[in-house]
Amino acid sequence: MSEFNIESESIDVERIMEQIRARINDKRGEDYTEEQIRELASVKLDRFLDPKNVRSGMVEFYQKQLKEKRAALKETPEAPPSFEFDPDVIYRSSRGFGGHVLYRIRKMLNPLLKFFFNPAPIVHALTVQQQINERQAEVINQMVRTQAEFIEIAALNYEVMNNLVVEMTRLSIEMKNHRMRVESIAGRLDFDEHRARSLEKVVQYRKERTTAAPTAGDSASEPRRRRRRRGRRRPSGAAPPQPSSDVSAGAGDGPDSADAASVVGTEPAPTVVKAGSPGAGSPSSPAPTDSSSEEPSRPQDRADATTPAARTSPGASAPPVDNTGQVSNDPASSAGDTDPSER
Amino acid sequence: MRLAVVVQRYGADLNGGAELHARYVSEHLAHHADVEVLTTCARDYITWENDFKPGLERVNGLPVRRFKVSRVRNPDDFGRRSEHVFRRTHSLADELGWLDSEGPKSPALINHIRDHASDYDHFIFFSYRYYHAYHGIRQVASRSVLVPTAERDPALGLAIFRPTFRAVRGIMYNSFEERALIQGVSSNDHVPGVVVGIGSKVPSQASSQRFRQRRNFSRRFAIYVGRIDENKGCAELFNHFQRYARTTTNLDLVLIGNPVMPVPSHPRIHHLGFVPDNEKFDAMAAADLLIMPSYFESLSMVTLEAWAMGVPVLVNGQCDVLRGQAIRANAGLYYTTYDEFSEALRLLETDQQLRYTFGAHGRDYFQRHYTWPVIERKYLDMLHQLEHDDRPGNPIEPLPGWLTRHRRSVPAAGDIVDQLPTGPVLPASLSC
Repeated sequence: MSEFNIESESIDVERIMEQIRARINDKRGEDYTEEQIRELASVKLDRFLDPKNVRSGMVEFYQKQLKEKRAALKETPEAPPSFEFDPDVIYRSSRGFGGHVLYRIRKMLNPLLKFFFNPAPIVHALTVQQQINERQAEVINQMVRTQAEFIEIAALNYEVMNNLVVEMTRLSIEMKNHRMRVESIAGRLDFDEHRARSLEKVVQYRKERTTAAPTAGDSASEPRRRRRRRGRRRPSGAAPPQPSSDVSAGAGDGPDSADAASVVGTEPAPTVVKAGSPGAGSPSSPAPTDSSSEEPSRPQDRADATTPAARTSPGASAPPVDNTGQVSNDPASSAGDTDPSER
Repeated sequence: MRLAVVVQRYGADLNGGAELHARYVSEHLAHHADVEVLTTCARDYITWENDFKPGLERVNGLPVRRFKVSRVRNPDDFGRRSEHVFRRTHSLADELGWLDSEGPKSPALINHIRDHASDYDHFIFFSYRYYHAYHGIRQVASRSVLVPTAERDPALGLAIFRPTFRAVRGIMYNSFEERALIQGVSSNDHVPGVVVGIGSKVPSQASSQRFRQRRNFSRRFAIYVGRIDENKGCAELFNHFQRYARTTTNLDLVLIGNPVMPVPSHPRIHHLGFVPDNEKFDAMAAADLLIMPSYFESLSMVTLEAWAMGVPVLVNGQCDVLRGQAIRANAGLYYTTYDEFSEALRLLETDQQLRYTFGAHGRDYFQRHYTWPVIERKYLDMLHQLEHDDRPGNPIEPLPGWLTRHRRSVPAAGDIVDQLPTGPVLPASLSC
């Protein structure tokens, strides 16, 4: 992430603003403009996850609530039908032709009826009551519609909230994964840096060795030759190298010793013939005493020498092991096997 | 030299931008010339009702001649006409009707200008968009100097004003952006013009300690000074600051000015209301920075005052003038989004050295361009240049005939303004 680098003598508003924008882009990860972000935010939320897969008490709660509300809405008793009312309804009869005659008679006797009581207030009260009933019915219908809409909105809310919870969980897991990956990469980066430093120092060390001991006289083909020799030894089924002086002492007694001698004999390489080198005749020292001159030329092996086993016990009493698996007591060899800085 | 300053309203207690500008300029030019102010009897800029008595009076020692407004403004009618000429294809007659509706319509003032034109060497008109400037300049174009106080609003795109911009003898711009706008809309590059702006009376004894003691306020804060109005970008400022306040606890926001919108109740937003000038400057001296969230400004006096006090600013980058000023002065940052607001404010909050440097740049910018001696000199130079210029001014283009005036062929003013160049005028492109 770019940091601000502002020198007071050369402050430039536009340059600072460019740095601010770069910082914002770094933070955001991608170079979205504000408009793009708003557009993304306004995109319709699609149903992309199955709510059944979510294990959450909230889901059951919401589902239960929804079911209850829908059931309650269905169980609401129907309102009785409204009645039609007009001033003549109190005189009518439902008996067909007889009822029609009866209606006529009642109408005719209406003045007489009015002589006994006044039906007008009754008619008026019933008319008003009918209007009240109609209004109430409208209000109730509206409330029912509102309730149904509310239930639908609640269902949508549930869906949105459910998706949010699922997404949040998924993001949380992804974030943890990313964090672990970042930590892992950081660890590997540290290790690689460490390794690179070691290799750089070993290269320097080798230069010093070659200039200080020209009699070691390693030709360019020397490492290749030794590798070849080892290559012959491995298929022979030799026992795995043991950190024992016996093993090293027996190096010349094994079946490969003749081959080794022949190699030595045919190619009078100074490294092997050099009996005068320190420790060459010692029984505790391995036959190939040139690990120090070989190892630096193989950075991979050099790096392997700093494997956790070597690193976890710096300065341990166990003798270092060369690439052939043989234990080397040669101080030069051990010096070449490990990073000088680690020693 | 006899000067007439013509402005829509005038008074010692009027604080509108152009009116205050006119008063300051009049009072300072009075040290060098005989100045008379010609104005209306209006006090209220919404209705233009006659509030002052007509005739001659003195305001802060200056003669002020007032004329009655013949018709108060009908806001509904004005709104309808504005909608028509700003958004739809219309005619010149529609624009003239819009101008009458806007007011302050004072034929008596225009008649006085026509009848006494020879009594004055120059007429300095303030605010191009009002009745007095349009009709007054048409009477005495050859003696007119215009202080347009123009912003990027649709009125600038009205066709009736283009001859005005081309016919005046000189134009005193408030900012480079204003000049670019007016030259873009009217092609008046031949008219002498200078970017002047306005000075400010900044006390030398402003004390941050005094403010903190009086208000019992010990926290660091950013300040906003001005009308608390959605049109001034305050709603956006409140949103941004409340979001920002969740990320840091060091900085508060202090507001000074009359509210015309609700101020959010937030523990770190402090509204002090309207305060006297000395306390305002004390508060500015105590502030870490000034925030100016306005979208439209022809010249922000508050920003200049902050720089005069050595206070850096954070301005709304959507306002070309503010953004241009911040870049040219090298004395503040700007924002166009919340992310920029947040980062810029955090930078100003945390980097003391940057604040000091911006403050020093701002003070230097103010001293070089906006102290009163500098402003006065620019006005006097312009007036002397016009006096010694024997060339006749550009005759103002006559209005077309009745039929042409009523032909609906004038494009919407808003569309015209939308096509004008945008963005701040950067230092590299200046040729002032």
